[in-house]
Formats: sequence, structure tokens, C-alpha cells
Amino acid sequence: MTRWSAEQVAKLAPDDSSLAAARRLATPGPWSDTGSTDQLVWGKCQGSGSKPYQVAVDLPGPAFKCSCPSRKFPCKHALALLMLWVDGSGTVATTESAADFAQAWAEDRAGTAARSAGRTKAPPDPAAQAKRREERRALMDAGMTDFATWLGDLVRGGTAAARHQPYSWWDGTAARLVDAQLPGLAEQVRTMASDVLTRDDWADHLLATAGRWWTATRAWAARDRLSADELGDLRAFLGWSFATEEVRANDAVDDTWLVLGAHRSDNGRVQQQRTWLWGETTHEIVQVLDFAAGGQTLAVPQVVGAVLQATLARYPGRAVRRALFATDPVAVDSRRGLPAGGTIDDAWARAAEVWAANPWTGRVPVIIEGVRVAPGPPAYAVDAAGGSVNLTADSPIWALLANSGGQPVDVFGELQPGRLRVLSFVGAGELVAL
Amino acid sequence: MSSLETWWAGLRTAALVGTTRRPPPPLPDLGIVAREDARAEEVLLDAAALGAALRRSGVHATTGREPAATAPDETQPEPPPRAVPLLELLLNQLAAGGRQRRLLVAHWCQEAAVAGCRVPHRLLPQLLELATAERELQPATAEVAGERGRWLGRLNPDWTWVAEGAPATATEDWPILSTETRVALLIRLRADDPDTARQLAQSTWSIDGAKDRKAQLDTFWIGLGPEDEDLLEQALDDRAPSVRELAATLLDGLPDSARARRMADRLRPLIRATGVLKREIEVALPDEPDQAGVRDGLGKPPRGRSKRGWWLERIVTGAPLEVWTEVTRASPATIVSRVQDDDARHGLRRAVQTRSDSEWARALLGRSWDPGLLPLLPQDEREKIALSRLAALKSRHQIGEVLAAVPTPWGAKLSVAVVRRLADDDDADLTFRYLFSELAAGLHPDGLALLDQWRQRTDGLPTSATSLLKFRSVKRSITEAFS
Repeated sequence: MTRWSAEQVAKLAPDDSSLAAARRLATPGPWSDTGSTDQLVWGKCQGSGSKPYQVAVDLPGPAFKCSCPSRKFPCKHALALLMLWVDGSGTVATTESAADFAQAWAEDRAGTAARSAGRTKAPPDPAAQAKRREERRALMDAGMTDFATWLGDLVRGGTAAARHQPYSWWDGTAARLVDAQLPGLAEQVRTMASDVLTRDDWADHLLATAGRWWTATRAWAARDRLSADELGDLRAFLGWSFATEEVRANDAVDDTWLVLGAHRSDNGRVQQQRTWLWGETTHEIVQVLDFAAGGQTLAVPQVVGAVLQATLARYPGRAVRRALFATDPVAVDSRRGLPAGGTIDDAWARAAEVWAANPWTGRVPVIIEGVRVAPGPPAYAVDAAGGSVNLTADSPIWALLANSGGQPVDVFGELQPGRLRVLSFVGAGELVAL
Repeated sequence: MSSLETWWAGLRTAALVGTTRRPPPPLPDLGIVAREDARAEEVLLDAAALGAALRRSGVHATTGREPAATAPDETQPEPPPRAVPLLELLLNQLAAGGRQRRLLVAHWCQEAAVAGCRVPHRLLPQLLELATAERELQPATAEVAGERGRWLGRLNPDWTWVAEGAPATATEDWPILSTETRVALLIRLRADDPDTARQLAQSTWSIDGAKDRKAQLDTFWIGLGPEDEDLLEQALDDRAPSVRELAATLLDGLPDSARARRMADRLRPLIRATGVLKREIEVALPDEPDQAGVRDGLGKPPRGRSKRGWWLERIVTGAPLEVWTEVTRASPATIVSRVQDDDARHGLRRAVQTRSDSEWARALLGRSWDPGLLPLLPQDEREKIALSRLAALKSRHQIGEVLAAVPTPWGAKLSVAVVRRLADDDDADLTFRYLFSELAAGLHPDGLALLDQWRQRTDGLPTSATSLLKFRSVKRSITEAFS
């Protein structure tokens, strides 16, 4: 695993005070017995006690171990150790073999992981399982019927009237959807509650979304006629997730994957990280999703532009499929450029294809060549053919401008209705995150 | 509007008011058959679903918009490879935070400017954002932003300061520049090229307003020299009193000027050695000044001052210091100890300060502590005086005042003494934090070494002192990276 960047270490800190506290510790003085290998970084830090704290970081996880009494995760000692490792001054040198305590911990972790993976759950009682499934489906059926009725009420009364409803009206529907095991829909309803008040095009947006929700209720009612992949896409939309064992059991694609780009978002409750991968043999783009709730840290993102050897398991779906790592990725090659792309019109055509196959997805991964940007506002991107598209508010346009100097560059991004989010670009022949 | 859009607009309106009030419009001719026997709500929802899918997928790229113009090529090279990660660490707050980070980033930019380098492109957005928030960083950052940085400054309204901060060779535009821009230009020019600055100011002197003349003249404190005398002498006759006053004050700094000679002529008769052994020096108060005297600045005194005392002070400030030694045939130290008159002493102090005369400064300091005069002495002397002063002080506030008066960096002796002194302090952590800026800029490596020893020995170094050591270590790394 390559050495992390300063930004990656800074992002790990649970809060600003931890970062400040870690900085104070990031001097050679209190540290001893430090070192690092490809997978581990370790050291001993002299604190206020008599015995120094033993600190170790398992890079692939990442996972942190420290004998200090802090409850923060990672603690300031682990952060400080990483800062020293990353500053390249040699305080934390690369060595052949790990220190004993670090090695022992890493092996212990691997053992625990293997044990929990191999731990056979009590063989599922098929009857009980079937009963649970039936109950769930009954709940969802009832929930969807209820939702369809609510949609009917909405258009009977009119979207203008809906806009004047208090938040509790929307939230009530969302709560019922959660009870009916449809959390994805619930989240969408809650988002719409604020969208109707904040968006200028709220009338179009509400009508179009209501149409899509309506389609979902009709699709759910006809689910027996859907293929496994079509159902998979619908389930993602509704928020009925697949168990990872099930996904692993049903699919395995072994390939080298180019990391095209990544994006983190935070809706206040849950942090989500999307990583887009391009299979060099399959030529398919998939997304890996990581989540972290509350105070947890998200997994360290893969380095954009890296090429990884891994087996992925894809979730059922027709287009823009989600995948997970069935094996730990191993970096095999450094940095490549992007696969061939097209113009913005080509990207819209691609999006139309995707939406025809999977009407439930919002974002379509696209590669556009020869892009130049104008900061606006609103910011927009222009391709070599002179076509343009607006950029999302969270697109890193200044990073793109600073790096490209206004010259045309190939970019990778997510196309949404009406807007593009740029995630990475090719600079000096290498794919770089923005 | 296309027929599809017309239909959608009709659908939207029907949806707005609700199906009880208006039926949904019929589907356009798309080869799709509506469901029969469906309730009105279902018809509308079906149509919405269809319309949404069509509108989303039927999008084409917008035309007719231009991208931003490309950036000019760079003229300066990238920094040496060791320096770049240091800036990256600083920008990500890994090496320091808050005020320390600001000081270190400023140091990095200064070292880069001296080395003639520019900031790497990928770090520009972070650096420019930081400097937009921390205004003191702006001049240093603008120096090393490079062509790309200035280009970004033209594109982003928050970063316009980058482009403005560039060395403006816009001297041809002088007549049309605003006062603010002119003053900024003069400030920059006076440091290296005071003659050009003066010529620029003179070029529009007769047509500029009083406020402008005063603002421009105010920059002459920088790089004041004998060549400025002509303009200043002319300004003594200016229409505006504020300009006249400023010119007089500026001429206090030119002891070889004609005004200084006139002041000397006024001063000489006022000084008398008196007393039994001619040990006393008496300074008589001047009479009402003539017109030339008023022109030279002997006008109405400020409120609360007696007019003759005020005139005496101004005369002493304006006259060359040699007058004193000439008339009394004594050394400055002797003179200082013998002159009792307050107004004369004030005048002497101002004269010494304006002319940066170290001999007289030494003499004045010998008599009483005066932080303003300390920077005029050579380093070992001022540090010796500061040291003796420090020994007497208790509060960290007073210590701070003394240390602030000693120009940084300090010599070894003072640094070691300061560290020892602070080590004895009861609340060392708070003191170190209070004095952080002075210590960070001033401590000699010997002082730092002492701190380091102290840390290893007792293990009880206050956190702010450790922070100080870390700060200096990063600062040293930056300097070394550019060498």
C-alpha cells in the first residue's frame, strides 16, 4: 500500500481538537521504536504515565490500536504516528519486518476476521426464514399500497396544496414507509419536503418524482414479472438491501480495476462514500459504497488512478451496478489515464440508455474528453464540440481550473438530471482526484 | 416550445390545482396508449411518470457558452522537491494550526519568493482560500502565486487580491489611478526606488487634492533621503495645513536640510551653560516666531501645551543634534544628564528617533528606560540593556513589552537568559503562550537548545513550550528545503 497523503491523514481525525492534540505529539521527542511496512505502522509514545503507549495502525482497514485510555477513534497517538509517517522526515522509517507487538496485533485481527467470517451461524431454519420473508413482504405490500394511495391524494389535492403542508405531513408518510421496511423511499420523501421549499423548479421536480414513485408502486405490484436484475434495481431504490453473503454467493468478477473517482457525502445522519471502478477486461463501471453512521470513520478511500487486482461481487441490477470487494484489493500498477470517453451529448445519450434500463438510479458515471470550465456562477463545463452542461455546486471547479489552467482535459464525473459532478481529471497523463 | 414541453406544462398546471379541479391533458402522440378505466389521479400519475422519463432522457448539451480563457504560461519555476510536502502539511493542518500555521505559511512564501519560485498549481486553491481568510498572508502569497495564481484571482471574485498584489508596473497609468492604488504603489516603490516614487508624486502634485497630497506624502517616511528635500521644502508652502504640517515633520528627519539649519540658528542662542562650574545646561524658551518660523512649523500649539514650550520642542526636534555638542562642548551623555527642561527632552527624544542616531539613543537610554529607542542600538548593547531591565520585572505583560522592543532574532545570551527566566515562572505554560510570537521569532538556537535540554531532563515541559520547539523545527525545515 502506498504511503498516504497529508489530506488522507487529516480526514481521519474525528474532530478539530484531536487534530490539534495530535499535532502537538507529532514530534520525534516522545516516540521510540517506530517503523512501518507495507501494511503496518507502529511506534511507542511516551505519555504522562510511566510506561509508553504502544500504538499501531493497520493500513488496509484502516484499524487503530493504542494502549492509551482515550475513547476517541482514532486517538491522538495514532493520528500523531500517522503524521510522522506521512511527513517523510524519516522519524517513522520503512523496515523489513514489523515490531513484535504490532505483528502480534495484526495477526490477531486477521484471525478474528477469519473466525467471524468462517463462523457458521446456526443453520437457518427454513420454515422460520420463509415465515420472516412472508411477514416482510406483507409489510412492504401494505406499505406500497398505502403509498400509492397517498400519491393519489397528493395529485387529487394538487401539488400546490402539498407544498403548503407542514413538515409533519411529509414526515408522517416517511415514518409509515420506515415501518413498512421501505427506508429508501422514506428518505426520498423527507428530502422532497425541503426540496419543494428550496428549489425554483419545485413543481416540475415534485411532479416528475411523484411519477417515478408511482412507477415504483406499479413495479412492486408486478414484481413477479421482473427479472432478478430489474428487481435488484428496484430494491436499491426502495431501500431493501441485500445481505453481503448473498451478494458474494451470487456473483464474482475477478479483474483489474481502475479507480476512476470517488465522492463523499453526508446527509447529517449517515456518511456515504462512492468509489467508481472501471473493469479493464469487462469494460464495466461499477460503484462501491461505504457507509459510516454517527462517530464512525469511513474506510480510507482507494487512491484515484490506482489499478487494483480484486474479485468484486456485484449486486443484482441492470445498469450502474453496485459492487463490493470480495477480496482485499491489491495495487498492481500505478496510475493510468482514463479509458476513451466522448462529448457531453454522448454522455447524455449514455445516461438515456442507463435510465431506460434502470429508471431508479440518479447518477450516471461518464467520461468526457477535452473539457474546459467556466466558473460562472453557475459553473459549467464545455466540451471540444462546444456543448456545455452545468456543474453541481459541489464540483471542485477551482481545483480543476488550478490544475488545468483552462486547457482542455479529460474528466470523469457523475451525470445527474441537468448537472454534472466532476470527480477526477487526467493531468500529465495520470488520472488524479480533484 | 416543443409539443412535448407544451403538454408537460399543461400537465404541471393540472397537477398544481389537483385532479378534482382540472382533468389531466391527453397524452401526446407517442405511440403509447393510456390505460382505460383509470381514475383521474392514476391517469395523471401515469402521465407524470411518462413525461419525467421523456424529459430526463431527451436532454442535449447546451450550446453557445464559452469556457474561461486559458492561463498564461508560468515564468517562475516550481519550488525544490523537499519544500512542496512541507507546504502540503501546513495547508492540511498537519504540521501546525491556527496562528502558528499562519506564521509558517508566511515564512514558506517568503523563502519561496527569495528563491524566485512559485506555488505548485495543485496547492493553489487551498493556499488562496487560506490567505483570503487570513489577510496578513495576502502580500506574501501574492508574491509567489505565479501566473496561474493571478489568473485564478481574475476568475474568482474572492481572490481578486492576488492579481492586485502583483508588482504593478503600471506607472504609466499614474494619473488615472485611485488614491488607494497610488498609495499602495508608492509604498512598494519607496522601499527600492524612492526617486521614481517622488517623481510620480510630483507629476500630479499641482492638480491633486489636499487629501491626496497628504496621503502620498505620508509614504515618504519610507526611504526618506536628502533628495526629498526639495519637494518637502516646497510643501512647507502648501495650501493645506495638514500637508504643511506633514512636510515639517518629515523634514525633522533630514538634519542636513535648509530647514534644519534654520532650526539650528534658532536653537543656538537658547542653549546656555550655567551654574558655578558651568555644569548646568539651561534652555531658554523661544520668542514669538517670525513668518519664516511659522512656515517651518512653529505654529499654533496643540491643546494643553504652552506655546513657547511647544515651539521649543519643535525647534529641538528640527535642529541637528550637533548643535548641542557644539554649544556645550560636552558629550551627548553629559548633555542628557544635565538638561532638565521637559520640552527640550521631548524634542531631543523625537529628534533621536527620527534620525536613528545610536550615540544619542545610548545616551538617552542611559538615563531612563525607553523601549522605542532600543532598536536604534547595535544588537549586543540593546540586548544587554533589555537583560538588565528584565531582571527587575515581574509580570509577563511587562516582560512582553520589553521583548517586543528588541528586534528579532535575538542573540544567544538574551535568548538563554529569557528561557531561564521563563523557566522560573510559576505559570510557565501561560507565559509561553502569551509570549509565543516574540519567542517564536526571537529565540536563538542556543535558547531552543536549552528548552530541549529542559524537556529531556524533567519531562515536564509546558505544552506551549513544546509547541514552540515544534514550530521552530518546522521553520528550520522550510528554510533548509529552499537552500
